[in-house]
Amino acid sequence: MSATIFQPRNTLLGLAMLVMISPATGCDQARNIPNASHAQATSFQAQTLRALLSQAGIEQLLEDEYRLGIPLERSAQPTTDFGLELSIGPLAQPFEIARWQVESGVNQLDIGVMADAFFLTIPMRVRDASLGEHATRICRFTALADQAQINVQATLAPVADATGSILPMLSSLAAPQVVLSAARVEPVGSCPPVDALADHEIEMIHQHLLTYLEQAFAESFASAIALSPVKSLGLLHAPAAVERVSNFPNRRGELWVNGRTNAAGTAGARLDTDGLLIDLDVALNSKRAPCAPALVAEAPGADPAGPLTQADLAGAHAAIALATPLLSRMAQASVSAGFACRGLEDSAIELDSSRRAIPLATQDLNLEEVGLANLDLAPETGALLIAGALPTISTDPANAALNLNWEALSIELYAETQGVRVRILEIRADLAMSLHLRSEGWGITQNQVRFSLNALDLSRLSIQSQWTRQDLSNANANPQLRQWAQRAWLLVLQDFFHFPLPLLPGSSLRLDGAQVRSDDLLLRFRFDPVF
Amino acid sequence: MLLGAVFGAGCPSPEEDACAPACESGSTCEPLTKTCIAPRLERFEGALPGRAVRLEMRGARAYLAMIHPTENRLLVGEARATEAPTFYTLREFSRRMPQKIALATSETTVAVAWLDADLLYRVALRRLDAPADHWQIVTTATGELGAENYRGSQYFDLSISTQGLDQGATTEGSQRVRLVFHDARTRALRVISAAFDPPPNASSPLWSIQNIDDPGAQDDILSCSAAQRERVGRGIGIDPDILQRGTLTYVAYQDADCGDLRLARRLDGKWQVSVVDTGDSERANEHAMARGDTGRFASLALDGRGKLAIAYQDITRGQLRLALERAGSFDIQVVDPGLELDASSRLRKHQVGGFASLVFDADDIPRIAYLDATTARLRLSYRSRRFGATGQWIQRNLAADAPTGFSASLAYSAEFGMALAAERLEPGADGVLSGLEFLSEGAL
Repeated sequence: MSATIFQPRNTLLGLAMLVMISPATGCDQARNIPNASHAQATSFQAQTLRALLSQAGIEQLLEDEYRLGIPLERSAQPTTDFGLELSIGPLAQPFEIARWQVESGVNQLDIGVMADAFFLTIPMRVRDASLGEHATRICRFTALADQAQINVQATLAPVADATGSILPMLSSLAAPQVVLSAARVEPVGSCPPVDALADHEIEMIHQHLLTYLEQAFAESFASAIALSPVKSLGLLHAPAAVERVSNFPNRRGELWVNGRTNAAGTAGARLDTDGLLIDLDVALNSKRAPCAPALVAEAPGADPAGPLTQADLAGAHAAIALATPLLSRMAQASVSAGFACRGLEDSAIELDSSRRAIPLATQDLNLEEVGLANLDLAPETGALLIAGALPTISTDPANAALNLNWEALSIELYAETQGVRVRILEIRADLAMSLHLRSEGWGITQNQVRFSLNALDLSRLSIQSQWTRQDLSNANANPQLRQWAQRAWLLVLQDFFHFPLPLLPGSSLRLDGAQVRSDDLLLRFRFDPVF
Repeated sequence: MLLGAVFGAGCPSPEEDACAPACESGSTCEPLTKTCIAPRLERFEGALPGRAVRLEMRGARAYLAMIHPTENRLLVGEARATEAPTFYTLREFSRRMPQKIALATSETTVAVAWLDADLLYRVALRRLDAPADHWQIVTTATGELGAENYRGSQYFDLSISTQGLDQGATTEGSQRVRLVFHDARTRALRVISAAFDPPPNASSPLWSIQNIDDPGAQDDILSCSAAQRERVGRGIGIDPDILQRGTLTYVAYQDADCGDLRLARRLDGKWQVSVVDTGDSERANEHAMARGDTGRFASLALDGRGKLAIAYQDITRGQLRLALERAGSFDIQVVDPGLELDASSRLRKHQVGGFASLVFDADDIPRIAYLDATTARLRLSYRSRRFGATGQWIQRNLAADAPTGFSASLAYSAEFGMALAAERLEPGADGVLSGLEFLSEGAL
């Protein structure tokens, strides 16, 4: 069996998670840049990403990591018994685990696994002079047991990874204890040098084989649990970059992200009775897309995410809290990287390109209110979003909402006439929006936190069109035009904001819920494997 | 015109004297030549519209044709650089106005084509030296071609050329008309053609029809899959532009199923089709799986060296491109990427390239007029030097007020100079009113 199946799988948030509370951006509009050493994100916001993995979550994490079994590996061990030169092993095969059990305490994790009745074939080389002076005979034995139970006490230790990042790693405090029930050994075929021994001598060799197996279990189990939860969960711990992909060159920017474990605890992590807690410092920056406003993002805020406890999990396996200043920083960096320059990238000949557009039904826009009736327009109108400033985000836990303030935001409406899509109208305003979390649809098909636009307040409204004789010059003071513009904004933005959760392919984590808290946005997950 | 119709109806000719097929409404049958004689046209004195306007140059004259969308008329006219233009109503429509028209000239003849309500094309012809109101209209459903043979669409173009006796003409000065079109029934690019005696003696011609590029016969052109064609189902031959030079005929058009620019050449009576630009993504930071949609509003011209150039719109990227023939293939250039820095230092993307119209001037400099659909203004791109010399594309907005630039049609002759016609739209109480924007040399 290939060793690759034992590699820890990145199951939680990839770096693209940091493609933000932003105008909905499809996966085809963002691309991870591998080995993004150029991504200069060095202004870390301390403890702005916090994760809690419950006891059950740790169990599920380990189960998910070793769904095909733990790698049972031990090299051959030489010994001499009853005048026979023996070499027991090697073993290298997956071993299926029936149940994982984790109990979390302060700075300690008790991990136990249970395996149901099993049998394993163990090779044993025996020097056999009857075959020649240096000849070796390979014999095989089957080791059987009704049950195997392995227990270990583990804790966290700081370990430097290949990139030099210090990461918390699980490690066993002592050798795992292995208990095999009704263990026995049976020969597979004949093994003349052993068969010639007395019964009690054969029994002794069988005992050596079982001891070898128990040692293999202990060593392999200790290796299996020696993983970094930060890596296993896919939490950011190195520079990374996400590129805005677009057919329009002015929309191409990059979002640069970096994460490191916070200095507190054991390399930013600690164990307690609630489970495993990880604190990350996150830094965000951007390479500006030319379509974005030429403005410097606000200095990163210093407020960390709120504390996470068992109560915050509400039955979920894992929770991640994103501090409000991080959300704001994400929003600003993403806008600057071009992720808010949206619309008109759909194609009539391409499948599934509609998400690159902001499609609207022309008749829904009530264009007669702005003197644009009788233009003989096609039934579909496209919207183009243009940011004139960088947005800010604050939390409103009482209303389960995020408040998004965005000045100088424009939409342009394009409609087809005479076979070409032309701009018919521009609307610009300062917007104060309240985004409600939408709780429907959590589960297996849900890979993002969606927000609906609950309230929208306009100021400094202006409307321009070359296609109408109607006076639109003082739209901000005109109640009818304000009402029309607000409705148009709602039509454009109502399903616009979401929080993408780019779980890596094959992930068995599913979003289970989200909650706006005073200091952060809390996301809850369950392990929910799909097979 | 009405009198003519009444007169024609009231004087039935003997069967053997009748024109076959019957003359178009308003025309009368001249019994000796059995040709349909159109009445002299009514002069149009109102404000000129610009819907679907087409402009052609021949010597010192500019010929124009356009649709009056509110009065349901097809207008034709001509202008000299030093004289006010005159316009006439070529046709009035009671139902189903055409959306587009095609205009072409030969050394002796000017021709206009449109799609009529029966989904068959009509062609009107006039000798250049004949009075400006003296046109002859023929239907294309004659000869081997009947109404059942094709269904016209609004995607068509026209060429007319003088055919020599060595080219199969039976009469010196015979005119060969080719009308290429997207067949709405077969979704193929097809051509109907006929030879005419010079008007006013253009008797009922024998039209023939030929497939140029058929979506059902793409085995040797593997630019995209049959599944893609089936899924999109729009067919081939959108926005065709035909160019006739001597015995060679070129047609540039869009394959709308695959979003490609194609070129068909007629050589030795056979059409050869090639894909000029697929517009597909080649850059990692473009939409990785995107199939480019390009090749709209193709406009063909030959430079002084006889190199073929095609200006067209790349829809996926919202830009104006030009394909220049070189050693049997085409170099693709981005003429106008549609990027402009706005007052807030943001680089804005404009949707440019609609209604592209390409000509070469006296210095062999390529000039392309087109629509900037974001600002709804006319735009002109030209190269600083002719092809073959190091140069760059320069863009400028033309002075006309927005919204304008629809159906941009650029033309050039040494005697007249450069001129541009386009539709200008004026917002009114009941929508927008169509007006004609005509810019001559000084404004270009």
